[in-house]
Amino acid sequence: MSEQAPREILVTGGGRGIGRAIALRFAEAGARVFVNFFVNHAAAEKTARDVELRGGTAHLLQADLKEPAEIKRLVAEVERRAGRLDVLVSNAASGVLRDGLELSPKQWDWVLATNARALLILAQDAARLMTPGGRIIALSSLGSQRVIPGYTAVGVSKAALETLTRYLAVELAAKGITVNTVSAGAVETDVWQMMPEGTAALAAIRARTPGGALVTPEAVADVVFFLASPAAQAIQGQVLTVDGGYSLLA
Amino acid sequence: MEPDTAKIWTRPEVRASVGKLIVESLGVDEADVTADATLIRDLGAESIDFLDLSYQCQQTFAVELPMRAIQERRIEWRDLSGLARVLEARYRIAVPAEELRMVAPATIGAVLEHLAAKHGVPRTAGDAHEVLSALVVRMLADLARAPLDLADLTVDRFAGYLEKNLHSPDAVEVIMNRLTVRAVTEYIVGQLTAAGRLAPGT
Repeated sequence: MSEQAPREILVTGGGRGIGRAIALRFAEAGARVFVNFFVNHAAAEKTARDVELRGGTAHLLQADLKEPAEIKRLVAEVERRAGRLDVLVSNAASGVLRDGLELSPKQWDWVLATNARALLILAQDAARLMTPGGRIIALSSLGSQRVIPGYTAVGVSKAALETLTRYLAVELAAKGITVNTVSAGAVETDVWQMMPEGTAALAAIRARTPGGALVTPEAVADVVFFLASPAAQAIQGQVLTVDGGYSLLA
Repeated sequence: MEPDTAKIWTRPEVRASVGKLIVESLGVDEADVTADATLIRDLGAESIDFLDLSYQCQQTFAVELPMRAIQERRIEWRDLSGLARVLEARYRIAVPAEELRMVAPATIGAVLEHLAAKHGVPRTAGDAHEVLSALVVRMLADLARAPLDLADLTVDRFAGYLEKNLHSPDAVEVIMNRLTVRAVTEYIVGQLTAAGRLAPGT
């Protein structure tokens, strides 16, 4: 497929934050974007409107990604409308801020299912709809490698997702599909407002980042867009860190 | 994935469906889901349960539970940005919430003393009570349309929780304990009525 042709994109958790920025980035290139969301209908509708304003086409698809049956319905809906899928962006994530010693089995299962297993089921279904040049791109965070207080479940889920990226990459390479993950540093989204002292934590991260600026959702979206381009065909099974150099410092 | 927006509900159907959704989302026994049961204290609901419940309510009734709005209000109380707005309306002075959070102890009296010392805002008799009441009126107004059973919560009673500590966890708890099975049911009934999707006389 040529770089200019409109592409069929599915962005999970595409209503807000990084997912929204990714949806809009592809919209600028004229793509049809399937915007998946969980409960925040208003935010997803706004993203869909903005996708259209940027020159793309938007479809909203509500689904609970911790349920495999819902993922299957989600991808089936993409297939029904588009007949194929060019790029899957597995961005949706849910978290429970709690230390490992306090995590309940239910919380663990919820986070792992939403953040890690969803990529597996999505990739299994999405790969069927992809032709050579297809792209699967997941979103991770530094908590997969480093210890962040209260981040146990999410960190483990992201580590699983990064490992899954490598396995899927090898399995799907023969089909000409690449699988990669973008690991974003602290990105200023409304998630931080929900955390105790979230604003102060962001300020501390900004101060520690070599360039003195936080990574923006748009910067992450640009990297995802690049990985989805033909130019990135040789990048396979990698975790690309996009954190402004934050994690370089001891 | 698409809720049935054409269905006309009866009140008993709504009640039964809400009970079922709560049993499924929270993993509790049906017998425990009484009208007066509070979702958090009695049924052990936590943040992920509310996400589940919100999703199931959208799928079942095409009605959104404004759980996020409640969470945002809680943050406003905790970080004192709600108080900052009350002070701005009363004294026409914009003091950042960060500055208010630095005041110790975290009482309304200490905050007003700080405003007097640093910003020259004059103290008047009864000002602490008036500011606190204005803050509570604002809080309760913010929550008036949420699925909370606030009927018997007076301004004075709520103000009592904040008198000794503006960040009082008791104040948040008293609100969250008004999140009852009945309140959720009535909220959905209200939304369905507004949308013309509740059978009259049921």
